[in-house]
Amino acid sequence: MKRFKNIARYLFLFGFCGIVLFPIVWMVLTALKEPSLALSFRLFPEKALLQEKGFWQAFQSFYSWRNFSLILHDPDFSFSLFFLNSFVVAFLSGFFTVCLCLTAGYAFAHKQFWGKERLFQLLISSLMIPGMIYMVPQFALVYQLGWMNSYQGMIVPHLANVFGVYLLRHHLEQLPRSLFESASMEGANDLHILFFVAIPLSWPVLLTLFLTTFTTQWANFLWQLIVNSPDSLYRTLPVGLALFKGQYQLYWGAVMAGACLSILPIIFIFLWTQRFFIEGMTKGAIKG
Amino acid sequence: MQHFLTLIIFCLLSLLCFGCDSQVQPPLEKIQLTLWESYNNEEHHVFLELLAPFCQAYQERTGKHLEIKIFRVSHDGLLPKLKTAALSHTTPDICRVDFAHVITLAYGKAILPLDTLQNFPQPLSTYRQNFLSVAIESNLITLENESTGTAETHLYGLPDQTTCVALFWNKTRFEEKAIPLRHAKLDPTRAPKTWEEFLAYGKILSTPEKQQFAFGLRNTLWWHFPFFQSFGASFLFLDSTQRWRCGLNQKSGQEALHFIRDLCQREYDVDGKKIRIEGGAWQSGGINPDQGFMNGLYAMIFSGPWNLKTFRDAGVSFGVSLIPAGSVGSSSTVGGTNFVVFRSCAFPEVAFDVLQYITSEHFQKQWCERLGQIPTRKGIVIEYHDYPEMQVFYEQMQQSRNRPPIPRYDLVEQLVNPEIELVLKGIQSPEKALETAVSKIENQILSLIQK
Repeated sequence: MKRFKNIARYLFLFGFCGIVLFPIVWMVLTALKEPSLALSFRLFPEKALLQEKGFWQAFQSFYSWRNFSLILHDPDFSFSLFFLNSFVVAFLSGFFTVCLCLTAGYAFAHKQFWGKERLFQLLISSLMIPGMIYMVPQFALVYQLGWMNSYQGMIVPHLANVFGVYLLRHHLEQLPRSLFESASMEGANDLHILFFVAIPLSWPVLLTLFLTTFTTQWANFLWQLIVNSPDSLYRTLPVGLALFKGQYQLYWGAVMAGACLSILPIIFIFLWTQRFFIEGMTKGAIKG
Repeated sequence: MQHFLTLIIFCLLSLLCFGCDSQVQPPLEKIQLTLWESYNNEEHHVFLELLAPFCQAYQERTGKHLEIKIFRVSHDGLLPKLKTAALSHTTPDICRVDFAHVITLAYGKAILPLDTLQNFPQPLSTYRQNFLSVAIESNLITLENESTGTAETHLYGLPDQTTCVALFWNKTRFEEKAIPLRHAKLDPTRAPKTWEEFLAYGKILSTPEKQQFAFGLRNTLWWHFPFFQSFGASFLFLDSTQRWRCGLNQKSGQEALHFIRDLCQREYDVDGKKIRIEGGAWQSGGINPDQGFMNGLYAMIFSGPWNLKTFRDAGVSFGVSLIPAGSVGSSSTVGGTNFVVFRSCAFPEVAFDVLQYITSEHFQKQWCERLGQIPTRKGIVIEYHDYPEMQVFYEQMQQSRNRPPIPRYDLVEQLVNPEIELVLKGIQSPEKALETAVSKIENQILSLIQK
């Protein structure tokens, strides 16, 4: 009976995995198909073609590396530069967002100052304003600061993350107060407490915030498009990949090949930190 | 020593005389223009190649050194990018924009009226005759002159590309159904010519048990215009009080929407089987018409010249025909792009020369023959060796109408599409949906242009 239950459980899990992985598998297969066959539902060459050319030749005329070759060697599409820029922007955005949210969250959680709750409510209420509203004033500011075509123009405007402050305040409030008090009695200042008490106990939440910021900025298109001129050396991958979409046409094969390569860092980082990520989600969101 | 001094003096005098020769050329005046374009890979390379001789010819003609810095930008996000660039005074001198964006940029006073430039070949009424009317019309915009308070029509761009949609039909699917089609006295070697025929073909071409349907429909107003227009509906008209009104909810518009709804909703009884003509492509999660057509799921779709190569390379056996005719004949919807000159341009006359070159007969002929496109100028004979279907598009172009010349066309789509979706889902009647859509359009958009 137990064995039967296990089989059923695994079958269910395999089925569920299949549903989750289907879009990714389809993306990889589309990227590997010949560009003209990108929209085809077929996974294998037609029977007639197999008989005419033999399996290997027919297979080669169906699947190839041409889409990858196109995006890696296209003179108008500097994949390595776009990839590097995306990584720098996403990584630094994630890192500095975590730093800012941690210090702000700590202040809101453990410090007393005038108007603390009112200020926090004000911050939280700003979450109700759609992000697009900020775009023009933020752009004007970035332009006035001379940050067009620069990393700081793409990173700094996104560092103020109210959700991150909320998440970390909530998390830091959950930690035993006695830990902070005893550290304080031992003579530790706020910086010491932050580094030696708060951070070691907050890794899962910090990594969660880092990951969410990283993935958001990795996929950010519009902001990175408008703060870079068309000849900018700081253009990122989503901006570059958009070149494969015309007015009426989308080069599915090339876009899928680009997407295959662009999700690699996210997969890598997620696999590396998934234990913390899940723990962080539980601590920060559910338990709170 | 004396000889040496004499030689030096002689050299200095010679230098002085010949050095001050009046024949020495002054440095060339340098003109630099930035141009943003959003062509695809293939078009981009042809564009660079065809534009290259212009600068040299310009220098020979005017004695001025012209440099055009061409930047390729993505079509997605171009309008917000231009708007923010306008905010920071970093717009390009010339830009290629969608038909629908010209009016937005003109209303925002970001682009120049070309017919006010010194080198514009007046009069405008004669100049516009050089272009296909549907292509040039998207650039003729009537705005209020702030100083005189009168409405004036000016030309804000020149069309470089124009396109329309026609009916693509899958020959293999028609051949498979050749016998029943012939039984019904329908020709399996051609596409339907009228909407009545379209229904008759549709009933036979749909095979629901094989997940094959006669038609794949996109649910956006731009793709519905061929239906509305061929049924005689006018999107925009002036009423007796000289106010702009939206005519989608008139009788012809209602008939068109009833027809669309029937395609998607109605089940016809054919040989004891319930048959639906449309395959659900309009629904979210439905199979995209292009993909469905390529894989044989939809026997007919509306599409444009941009898909000719894609379908051919994928080995699809297909034909292209005019959009079936309704009560007022066949009609299609027009798309395309225009080149505009921004107000920040320091050399607008030179920029206009560039635009004239891009839209010249010589340029357009080569462009269209190499890329299989419809010329924006009249009277150009294009030999479509590689794209014989283009003749159909060219013919369809003569029976096409431009999208309404109003700002915020994107908002029109946002207002109309959900209402039509309710009709297609059977939640709302066509009359009610069109009434609601028209009311929203008149309140939110036409009120902006009533003056």
